[in-house]
Amino acid sequence: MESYIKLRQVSYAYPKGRFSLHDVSLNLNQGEITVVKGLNGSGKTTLGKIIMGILIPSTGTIEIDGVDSNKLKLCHRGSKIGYAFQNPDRQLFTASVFEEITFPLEIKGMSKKAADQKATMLLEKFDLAHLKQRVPMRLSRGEKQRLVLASILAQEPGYLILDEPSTGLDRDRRRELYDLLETLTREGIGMAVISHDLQFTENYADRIITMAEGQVIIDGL
Amino acid sequence: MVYKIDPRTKIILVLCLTSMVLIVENIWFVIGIGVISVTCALFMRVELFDLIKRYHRILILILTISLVQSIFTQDDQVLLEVAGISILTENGIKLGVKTFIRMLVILTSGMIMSTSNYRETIQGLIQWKIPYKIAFMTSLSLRFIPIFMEEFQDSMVALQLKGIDFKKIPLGEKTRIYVYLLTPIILSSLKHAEEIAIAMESRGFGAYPKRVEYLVLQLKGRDYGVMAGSVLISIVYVTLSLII
Ligand SMILES: Nc1ncnc2c1ncn2[C@@H]1O[C@H](COP(=O)(O)OP(=O)(O)O)[C@@H](O)[C@H]1O
Ligand SMILES: [Mg+2]
Repeated sequence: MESYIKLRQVSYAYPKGRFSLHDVSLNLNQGEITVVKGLNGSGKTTLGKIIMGILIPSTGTIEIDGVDSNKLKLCHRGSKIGYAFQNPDRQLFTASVFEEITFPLEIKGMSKKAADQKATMLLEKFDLAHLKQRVPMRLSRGEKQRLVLASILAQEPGYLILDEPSTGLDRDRRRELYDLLETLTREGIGMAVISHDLQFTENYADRIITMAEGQVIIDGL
Repeated sequence: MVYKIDPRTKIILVLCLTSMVLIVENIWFVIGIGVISVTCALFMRVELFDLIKRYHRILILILTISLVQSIFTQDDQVLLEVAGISILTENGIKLGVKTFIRMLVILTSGMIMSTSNYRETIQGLIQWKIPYKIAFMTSLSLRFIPIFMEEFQDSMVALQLKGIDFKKIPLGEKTRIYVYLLTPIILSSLKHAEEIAIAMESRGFGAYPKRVEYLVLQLKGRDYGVMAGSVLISIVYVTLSLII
């Protein structure tokens, strides 16, 4: 199967500060969970943001779903790759859980009826249906995390990049989240999950990438 | 500039700039203050152009608010009319420009303050007999400005990743999008406020009547010069703007 995301000798340096990512080449596939691990400051978040197009590499090429990523505007990338920030508060905007899913669909021209239908379906799937009138910012961390997932999946991306999604969740909530991620993967989507959690790495990963000082040092299981 | 400017001098300067820009009504004088603020910021080593590049979205947001204000101001001097509705009027444009510059000066002032270490700022305020609690809160709030900018940037990205093209938002949806964009910022400022409160309590605020001070600031000749200059120039400037 053709890889969904291909990085070729990608490098990046922050305009301020010393850190740089150098010469990363990587293929990421659908249908599998790739765990990205490494010490704090090793460049995991930076790598995720580069793949998303939030940061633009200084050299190298990135191909997403067969398209040169330079040709994709940020507002078109969300339907290719879904991205969850380390802090879910950064990506919750509305006054109700339901609206969080429907508003981008409506703005892009979907009919209200179709958008509502889609939201109902997604909230059901992510066990949020009973919270649909609640204020997203007031949800628990785990609920916020699921809402972020539901809202990025509303755009039907082929891949997900999740930056430490288990932060702030207790053991049981983590297990629930991981099972959900596994289900999604079985449905065919692929994901790169930045995670330190051994429970996740050992039991759910199809592939483990280890980063250090801005480089991929180990790639395998 | 080898010599470091005292945070109190900056406070006076910033107070002068912000009060001037709020008092003065004449458009040319408002523009003048904008130019002065930017010049001061550059002298204080605020990396203004770098900031503008990174946060140009915020400027666009401010610009949009100004534009909306300009459009909704009615006046006899109609410059542009569409289907019998006046879109741009002379007064509207003036008001828009003033709003834009006022917000810009306030932002620039925040940037000028954030070039000082916050401990120094607090100390400066205390030496002026401002209660420590208030000094602490004020300086800490100023330090949050860059953090807000960063959070705002992230939320901008998140909205675009939801498929929203800022260049092509349907006209009727613009307000809605801006409300969405401000929501995470407002909520996070409430959260930061709570953090400040906790930080203050854990440092034993109010537990002792008097605090021991290690760092003592000394105003130098140059500081007095800048302060006196700022106040004098402001008074002259405001007076002139009233006369002309
Ligand atoms: N905006 C930035 N400007 C300069 N340096 C940064 C910026 N963001 C992160 N860094 C630096 O880049 C390095 C890698 O950060 P990051 O990718 O967040 O690591 P990780 O997610 O693996 O902890 C760190 O040393 C960090 O200090
Ligand atoms: Mg990180």
